Amino acid sequence: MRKLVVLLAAFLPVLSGCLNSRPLRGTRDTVSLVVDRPDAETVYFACSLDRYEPRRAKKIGRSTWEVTVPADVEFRYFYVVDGLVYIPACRLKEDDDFGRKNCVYNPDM
Amino acid sequence: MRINQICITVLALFFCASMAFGDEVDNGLPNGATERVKTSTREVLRSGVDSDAVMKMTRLMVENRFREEHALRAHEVIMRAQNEGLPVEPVMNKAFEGMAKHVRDREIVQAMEKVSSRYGFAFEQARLLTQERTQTRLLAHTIAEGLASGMNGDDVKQMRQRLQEKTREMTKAQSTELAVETFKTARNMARLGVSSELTTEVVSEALQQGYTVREMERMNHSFMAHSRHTSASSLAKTYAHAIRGGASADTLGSPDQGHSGGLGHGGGSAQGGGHGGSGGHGGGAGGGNK
Repeated sequence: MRKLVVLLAAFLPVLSGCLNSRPLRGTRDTVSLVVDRPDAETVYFACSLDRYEPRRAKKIGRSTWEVTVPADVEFRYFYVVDGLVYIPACRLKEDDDFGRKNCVYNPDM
Repeated sequence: MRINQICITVLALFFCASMAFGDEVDNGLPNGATERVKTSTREVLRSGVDSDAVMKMTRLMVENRFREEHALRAHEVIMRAQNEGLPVEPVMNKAFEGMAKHVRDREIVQAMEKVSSRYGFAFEQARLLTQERTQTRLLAHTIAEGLASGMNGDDVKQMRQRLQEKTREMTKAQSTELAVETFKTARNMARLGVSSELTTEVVSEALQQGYTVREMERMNHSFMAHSRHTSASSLAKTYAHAIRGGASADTLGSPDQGHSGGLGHGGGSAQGGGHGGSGGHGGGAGGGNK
C-alpha cells in the first residue's frame, strides 16, 4: 500500500497532464519547477539567481524533471536538455539578447 | 617629516593592496589567461566591482576560450557601467547567461553592451520622473525589464511624458508610486506577449482617464488574472477600448465588456507554465498565453 502511494505521488505531475514547465508549490519558501521531456537523457536548469550556474534537474517519473527554487523572488530561467537550450511554454517571457527568450518566474503570479 | 611618514605608509598600503589583488588574479585565473586579461581584471577590481563576480566571470571567459579582445571588451563594458553609476550585475549576468547557453564570445559581449545601454536609457527616463535615489533604481529596473520584454524606447518615452503631464499636481511620493505601478503594468503586459504599441495604448488610456496608483495596480492584477483564460493581446485591446469608454479598474475584464476571447472561452491557449500547479490543461508543448 505504501509503495502504491509513493508511486502515485511520483507520477502525479505526469498524471495531471502537465507538459510544460510549471511550478508546483513545495514548501512556503520554495517552489518546484517541473518540465516534461520524455525524450531527454539529461536536463539542466539555469537561472539568474545564481549566475546561471547549470543545475541538474531530478527525474521524477518516466518523463518529468524537477528542480526546486526559492518561491519568493523573481528570476529568469531556461533549461538545457541534452546539451541544447530549451525554453518551455511558460507564461511570462523576455528577450534574452541572443535572439531567443527566457522564461520569467514571478512570485506574484 | 610626519607628512613623509604618512606618505610612505599610504604608498606601502597601496602597494600591498595591489599585491593582494595581483595574488588574487594570478591565483584565481586559469593558466590560459593572458597578461593583458590579468591586467584588465585588476583594473576592474580596482574600480570597485564585486571581486567574486569579476573573478568568476573572467575565469569562465578564459575556460570558454574567449578571444582576448572580447574578454577585454567585456571588462570595459563592466567598468563603464560601474563608472556611470549603472548596475553592473545585469551586465555580468548576461555574460554568465551567454556562456551557459554556449553563445559565441563576440555575441556575448554585444549582448552585454545592449544590457548596459538599456539600463543607461532606463535610468535616464527614471531620473526624469524621480530624483530620489532608491526610487530611481527601482523604476529604472522596471523600465529595463519592460524593454527586455519587448517595449521599445519610443513607447517608453511616450509613457514617461504622459506620466509627467499627469503627475504635475501630485506630490513627489504619489507621482513616483504611479510611475512605478505604470511601468510594472507595462512590463507585465509585455512579458505576456502584448506588443509595445498596444501596451502603451492601454497604459496611456488609463493615465488619460486619471487612474490612481491603486487603480493602476488593480488593472495590472486584473489583466494578469484574466489573461490566464484568454489571449493577452485580445484582452489588451478590450481593456484599451473599455478604459477609453470610461470603465473603472474594477470592471475591467468583466464578461459584459464582450472582448473577443471571452472570459473562460479560451483563446486556445494552453496553461503550460501557469503558476499554482493547477493540474495542467494538457496543452501541447507549444502552448502559452499569447
